[in-house]
Amino acid sequence: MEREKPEQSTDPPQQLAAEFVGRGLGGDLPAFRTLVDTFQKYAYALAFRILGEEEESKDAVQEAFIRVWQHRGKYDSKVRFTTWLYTIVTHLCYDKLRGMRRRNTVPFGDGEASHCGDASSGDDAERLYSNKEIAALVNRLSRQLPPKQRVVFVLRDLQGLSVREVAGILRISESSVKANLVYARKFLRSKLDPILM
Amino acid sequence: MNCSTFRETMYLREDEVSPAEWTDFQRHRITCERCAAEYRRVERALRFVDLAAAEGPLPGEPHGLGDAVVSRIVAERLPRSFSAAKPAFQALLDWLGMGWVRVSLATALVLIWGSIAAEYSSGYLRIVTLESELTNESAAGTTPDIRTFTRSDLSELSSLLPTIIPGKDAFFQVSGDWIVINKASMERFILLYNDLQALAPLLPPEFRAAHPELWKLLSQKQKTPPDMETLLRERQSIIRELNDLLPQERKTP
Repeated sequence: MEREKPEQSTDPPQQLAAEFVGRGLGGDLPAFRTLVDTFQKYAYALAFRILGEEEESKDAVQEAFIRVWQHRGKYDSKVRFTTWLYTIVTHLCYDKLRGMRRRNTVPFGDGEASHCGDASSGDDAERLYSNKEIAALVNRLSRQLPPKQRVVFVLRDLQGLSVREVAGILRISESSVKANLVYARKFLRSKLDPILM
Repeated sequence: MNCSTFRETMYLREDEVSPAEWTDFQRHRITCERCAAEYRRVERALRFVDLAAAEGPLPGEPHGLGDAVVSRIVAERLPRSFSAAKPAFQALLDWLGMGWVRVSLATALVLIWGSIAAEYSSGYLRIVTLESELTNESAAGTTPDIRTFTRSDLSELSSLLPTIIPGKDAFFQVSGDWIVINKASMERFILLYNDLQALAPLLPPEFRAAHPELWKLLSQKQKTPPDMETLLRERQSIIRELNDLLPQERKTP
């Protein structure tokens, strides 16, 4: 079973990006503003998938762009800008997630998938539910995962990054990424089984 | 591959295992019906995940994020002392508009006078120093580095500055009838001014129409930072030379 890239691209238009990354990170504020406008939805998608809350996600993305501006001198042009941006967004979200977890304010889903009905097979389930409902269910279930598993799962399975990219962003080994993926997918499968059986 | 290993590996996708592992995995799947059935369930679950990934999570675009980011960048470039005066500064300017436009407009008002001092005040140049600054600088054996305003400038500034920046002393020092801007403050102004000038193309047409003079100030090509540095050095030299020429009693107002 080969992983397909999500249809909704997580990559901004690279040509546009290249033009404004150079100028924006060179200190040209209007170009940087264009950079923010171009990349914000991708950064926000990632933040929202990890955090599951609009306001927290907006805060994280805003903070991420401020850090990009503040540390623009450290940007290595050999690295894709999106990788750098996703790294910053992910770490900010991960910290927020752990903080929310400590405060017990992580937006948990209602947990079980049973409310989705009693479809008789996986294929039936896919026909019975709209993609939006499926997405909502998977996102809700993923919010029950421990922070690290959740971040790994979002980056790999929902954002479509490679195992190597995920390992690079989180600064962990590829084996660790895979181990976290296995745990996360096992958990999701256990929750989805009732409607897929 | 045995059943136990298979049931761990089945949670990984083809591109997450080595080709050899994948071959072993497929071989076991063909030979073990129970494991194959388990794997079909995992496949269905992962297909659900893929559908979720394709659908996207967005409740909507994050509106106003660009404005918020740029406003924060501009605000964080303000000197610390300026930031301290920010609440009153903001309150005064609430009526002026939104976000960074507010900041840029208010700062531009200050910069008008800063620019006059730095670039256009040759005709007004006086040798004016603050007594305290003279004393300190003389003791340190260095020459005071100052910009000066004229008496007529002062009357406008005196009425304008307290309403714009309560903490005006951070930038301007007042002594008798004179206001002095020191070089360090001026450099901070220039940094800020460069940011504001960079933002000028983003000003909406309504703002440009309503504030033609400010627009002109922000959009005109100004001197680059190195040129400004040169200018400041030149002014410093002129002040030093004139200080030497003028009688001591005329050095203080």
